[in-house]
Amino acid sequence: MTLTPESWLDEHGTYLYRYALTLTRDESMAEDAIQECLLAALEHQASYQGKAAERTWLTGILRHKLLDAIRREHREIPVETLNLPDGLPDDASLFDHTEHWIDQPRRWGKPEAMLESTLFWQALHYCLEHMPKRLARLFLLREMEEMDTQQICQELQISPTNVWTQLYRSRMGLRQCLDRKLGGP
Amino acid sequence: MMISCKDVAHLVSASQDEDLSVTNKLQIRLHLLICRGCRRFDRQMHTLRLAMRQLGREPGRNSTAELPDEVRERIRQHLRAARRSSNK
Repeated sequence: MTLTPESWLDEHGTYLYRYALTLTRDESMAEDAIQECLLAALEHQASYQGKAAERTWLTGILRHKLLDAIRREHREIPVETLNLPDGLPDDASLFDHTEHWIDQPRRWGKPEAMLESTLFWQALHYCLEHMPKRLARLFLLREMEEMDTQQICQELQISPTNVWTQLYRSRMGLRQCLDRKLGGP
Repeated sequence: MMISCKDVAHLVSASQDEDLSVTNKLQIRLHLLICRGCRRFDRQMHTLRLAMRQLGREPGRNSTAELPDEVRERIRQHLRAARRSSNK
């Protein structure tokens, strides 16, 4: 088999970019990771057995590079030091003094129907775009990459309590954003 | 025994990351029986979880982003340079 690294870019560049952009929400972070990924692939192509599809192999390398970048960023500026307010709702804005909802959650369609709806996906991408980027990355590691909270604590060197808090805030923020975009009465 | 809507929100989020105690699960179920807002919330969180998992499987879904040409070119040059130096 002749390996042609430049054809990786032609055939898989767009796919890899969309994956990287979805996970990082950041263009330059995504671009740098793709470059590092392809250079690493070139260097290690001898170890590629051709067992996995080329795209799967490249995506695996890219994932490592993205995690490296996210980890570096968190080491440099721990998520604890992020300043509030960051646009996400807190409990004081969601619940009244009796701990009832201030704005009742609205009715969405059935989950399966929502996943078929272009409007839903557009709203989801919009709401992810509007989350603070670093919180979005932490949330996406949990939800999209399916890392467990223990792995996230280790990867990003943050406490379990902090991970839970950030995941809770991310979910509440996304939910509220989606509710405003999609909710019926 | 009765927990508040705020408690339900925290517990439902926690349930997506860890197993809850039997007591907590029961508290949620009892609360959902009598609270329409929290029933909707619970379903929304379920929908969000399913959607995020699907996004993990098809990360480019509904994305029209394209790697800019100049970035492509830059990466291409890096690859060529790396190949040349490895062939030496």
